Amino acid sequence: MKIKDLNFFLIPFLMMFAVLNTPADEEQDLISVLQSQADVVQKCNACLRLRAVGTTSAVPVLASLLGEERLSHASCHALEAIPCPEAGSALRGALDKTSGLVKVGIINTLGMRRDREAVALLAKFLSDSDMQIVMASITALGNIAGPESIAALNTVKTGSSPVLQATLFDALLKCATELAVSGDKKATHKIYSKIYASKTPQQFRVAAYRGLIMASDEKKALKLIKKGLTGRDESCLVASLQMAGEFKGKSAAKTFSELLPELPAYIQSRFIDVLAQHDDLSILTALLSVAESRNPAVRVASLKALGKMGNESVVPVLLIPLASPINAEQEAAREGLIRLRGRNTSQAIADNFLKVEGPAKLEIIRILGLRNDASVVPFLLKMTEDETVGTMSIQSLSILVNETFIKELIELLFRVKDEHKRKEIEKALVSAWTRSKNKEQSAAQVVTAFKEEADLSNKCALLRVCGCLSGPAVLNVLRDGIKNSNKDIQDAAARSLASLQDLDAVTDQLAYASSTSNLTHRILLLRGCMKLVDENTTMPADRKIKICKEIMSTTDRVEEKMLVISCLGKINTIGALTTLETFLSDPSMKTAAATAMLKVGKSPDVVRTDMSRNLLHKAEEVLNIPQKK
Amino acid sequence: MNKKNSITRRKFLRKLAIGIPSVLSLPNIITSAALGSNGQLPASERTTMGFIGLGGQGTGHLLGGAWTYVSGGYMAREDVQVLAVCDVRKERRDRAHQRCNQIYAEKYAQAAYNGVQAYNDFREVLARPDIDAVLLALPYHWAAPMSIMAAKAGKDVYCEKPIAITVQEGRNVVETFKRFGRIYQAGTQQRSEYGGKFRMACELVRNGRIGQLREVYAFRQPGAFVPGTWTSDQSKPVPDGFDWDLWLGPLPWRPFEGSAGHTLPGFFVGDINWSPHHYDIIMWTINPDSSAPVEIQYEGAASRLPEDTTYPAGAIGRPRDGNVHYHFSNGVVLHSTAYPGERVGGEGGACFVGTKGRISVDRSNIVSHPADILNEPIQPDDTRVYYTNSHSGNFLECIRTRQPTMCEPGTAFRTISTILTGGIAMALKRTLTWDPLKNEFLGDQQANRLLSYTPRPQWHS
Repeated sequence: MKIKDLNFFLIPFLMMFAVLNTPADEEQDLISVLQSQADVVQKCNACLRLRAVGTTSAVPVLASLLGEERLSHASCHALEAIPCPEAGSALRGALDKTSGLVKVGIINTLGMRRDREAVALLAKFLSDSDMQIVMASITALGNIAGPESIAALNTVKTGSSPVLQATLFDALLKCATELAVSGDKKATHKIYSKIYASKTPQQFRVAAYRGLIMASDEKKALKLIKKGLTGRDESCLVASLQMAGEFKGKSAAKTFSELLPELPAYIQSRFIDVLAQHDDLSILTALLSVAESRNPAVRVASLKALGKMGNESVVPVLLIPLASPINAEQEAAREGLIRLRGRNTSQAIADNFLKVEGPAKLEIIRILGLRNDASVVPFLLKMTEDETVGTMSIQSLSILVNETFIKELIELLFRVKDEHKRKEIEKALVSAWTRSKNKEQSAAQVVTAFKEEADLSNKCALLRVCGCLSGPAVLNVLRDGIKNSNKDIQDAAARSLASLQDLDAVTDQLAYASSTSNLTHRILLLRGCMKLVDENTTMPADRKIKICKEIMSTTDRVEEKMLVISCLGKINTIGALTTLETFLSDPSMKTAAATAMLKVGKSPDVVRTDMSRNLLHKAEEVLNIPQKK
Repeated sequence: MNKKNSITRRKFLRKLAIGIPSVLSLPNIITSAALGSNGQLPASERTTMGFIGLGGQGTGHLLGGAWTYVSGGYMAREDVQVLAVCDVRKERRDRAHQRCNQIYAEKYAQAAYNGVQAYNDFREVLARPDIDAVLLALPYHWAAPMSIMAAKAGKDVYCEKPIAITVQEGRNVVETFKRFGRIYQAGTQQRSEYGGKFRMACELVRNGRIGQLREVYAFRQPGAFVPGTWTSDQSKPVPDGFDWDLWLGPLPWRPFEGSAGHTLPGFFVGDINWSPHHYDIIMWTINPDSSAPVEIQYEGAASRLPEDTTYPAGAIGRPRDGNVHYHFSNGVVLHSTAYPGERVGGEGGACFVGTKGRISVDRSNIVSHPADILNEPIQPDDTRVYYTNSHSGNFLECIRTRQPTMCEPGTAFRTISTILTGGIAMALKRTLTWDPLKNEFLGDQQANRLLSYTPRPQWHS
């Protein structure tokens, strides 16, 4: 039997064991594979499986494979996971019998197992002539860690090899991390200090200084950070800046607050980013002290930080830069004011409105909307009639209002004369309705107001609002509106009926479209109706087709007919195909209709019958598509 | 004080950005433009980058593309200078090499610009002292080892998901980045992008808008590295210009069999490709106690899977691998299935079910039931989460400030360990209990043996 054929049977066989056999049975069978004449692939796959189920029993046979180049890696993979001490002994025992990459693999595996008994053996390899073995041993000792490993690593002479030095320092850093966990501060500091004092690439010196800080008690750590930030060693500086973010207690806040004003501006701006990670209000005072720094980067950083961690007390400071000519400052202040926390912050911003000038006033109104805090609605309502910020106030109100404010908005609409503002109030009314919990009741408020209002322009405005709402009260008022003798009311009602997003409106839309002599109204109503039908996913196909046919009979304009064809092209039924077929004889529509038919025909929902095939052939003929034989 | 260690402002800014020693920018990039003329940032304030892995994802980051969220990619950014592109496929690296130099040639008005170098071996990129950061978009098995090597070489790293294929690898990433203080961003961009929909869902749920969170539907299986075979004797000719051995890297050696994409066939159970996006958002939102055990309940193949559940294109979820249900200590149950009948959630999303309603979110939509939940936006005093509206921008900003990114290693590990442990439960077809404090399964030695693998000797780190 060829090896390939053997694999064909063996792999499923091994997989079957995983499911059916007990682990002990499976282990024995896998051991048998390893002891047999099976090929490399089969043996490797057996090792793979032994990683999962292997025990002490599998160790001898796995050990016997460690020296074989094609099998050693798989064997290491199995032995690495078998937790018994025999696995460690087997790996250690193979060290003297192997060389090159095979030996490297075994050393790596001992490191992964964190085999303390291997330390003495690995120490011997630190002066091996094969650099791969030296480096693997260093890495393994780093993984194993502990005083013996450190002692061994301390004997390594790296000479001028940067790669060897990097490997050694990485291993020592790992050991130091372990030592720090064990609480041996003296030994930990010794390692970090050694690396820090060396002429090593900066990433190792940064790591060592970080380690020194992490391994110190808070008092000493803060001292080290302070030293790093005020000193002239860039490794210390980078590490200190980063580590400062890790200390968030009262004592750290006090130290950092005192330190901030002493730092040069280019460090200050970065340090402020760190301070913003703190949640300690005592830092606010320090931030406020640099908020008006002459250095723009410091100012921007402090504004960002104040916005992130401040409260209503910092509002006046953040308001000043709203008028700054520097975009970054403006942006930082704006973002800060939007996100600033505190129960009274929105009110504090509103209270400062009169203290700012020009465009900053507009910014305040905009910010109040973006803060999503409805407590300022009364203030914004008051500002709606302001000449400068009125429109912006209404726009901000749109974000905040709900049904509670419908009455006030309607009153505002009736009071305001400016057309642009009135349009914004109409939008705010729609927003309030959208956000209301009882939409029917909210719509009824608008309808009642319409009925009670005498002013024609106000009535028309409310009808326009109705076009964006829904519900029976709205539909009724629009039905009445299109019959109104006043042309303006009739026009507003017809346009609103056309835009109504309410399936119940379809019948009215079609009826009025067919009866009206106003071409604009007819077009709008048919298009509105078509949109409702086209976008609805729950309406039965038959009803959709019926409405499409009615629209077709109501219009003689190609534009609307094309919309109908497009809608029919999305209805995947024979009915849609048959309806579309009726347009194949119309030169202005035949191409669109045939294309839509083929689209329908591609749907798996359309059952292939003689009838459907016949219809599709007709469409293909129109499009000059050759018939399939 | 050693004179060598003294600092100037300019030097400091540069060092702060790169965190590594001498800045030896290649002579051919020290142009007048690089020094800040033409309204561009001076080179000292730009982050210098290498791009390793130039498939669809890597090239998208580099140059922009249909799927990317940064128009024109990193090449178009004023605060980035790309110095190296690297791929084991010659055709890919040559294409990127040519395109990048062409873009910079136009930008700096230097027809012969050749400041972007192309590499087959990523170690040459990591060895360049003038590169501050690397973006890794790699086959799954390379993500963790290369991130670790990059950190040790003093580079900051943006790494595409999945960020590790075993729990041990993930732990190594966390420990290495902590040890060296390097900046790391996992490529789970949903936290920052897509108009803030995911952040909104997270904040609404965390602030109790759906009441007490009870269940979460992930719409995706988790997954795990459980290779079916160690090696093979099937072989096909390696395509010209493809460094197969380097592509394999730490994986067991095998001949080229004709396939080398994100991974090799038969190496994973479940879905390791899309699940990081789903579970990242979920873990962000659930925010479970990181010290309390999690029960991972296994459920046999597809019995709970609604018939209409589909996996979007590109996913490699396999319904036949079954599903899992994570039981967290705060009482929340996370299902790997879809919420029955809910259309929103399949594209990187989830459905969060609480006592007062539910929120479903994905890349295109956020919906709530009742709908009013979304009408009550987050207030200034509500609990907020880390805010950024640009994932790559956040990475670059954190390189400058040395502060943690939106998806720093600890956060990324929490997601990937959730996925991998769920995948192991699926592979073993049994319920497991995971101890996140010890990073091991309780009372299941066989499951614990799947938490790591032995890399090829030359790639051990």
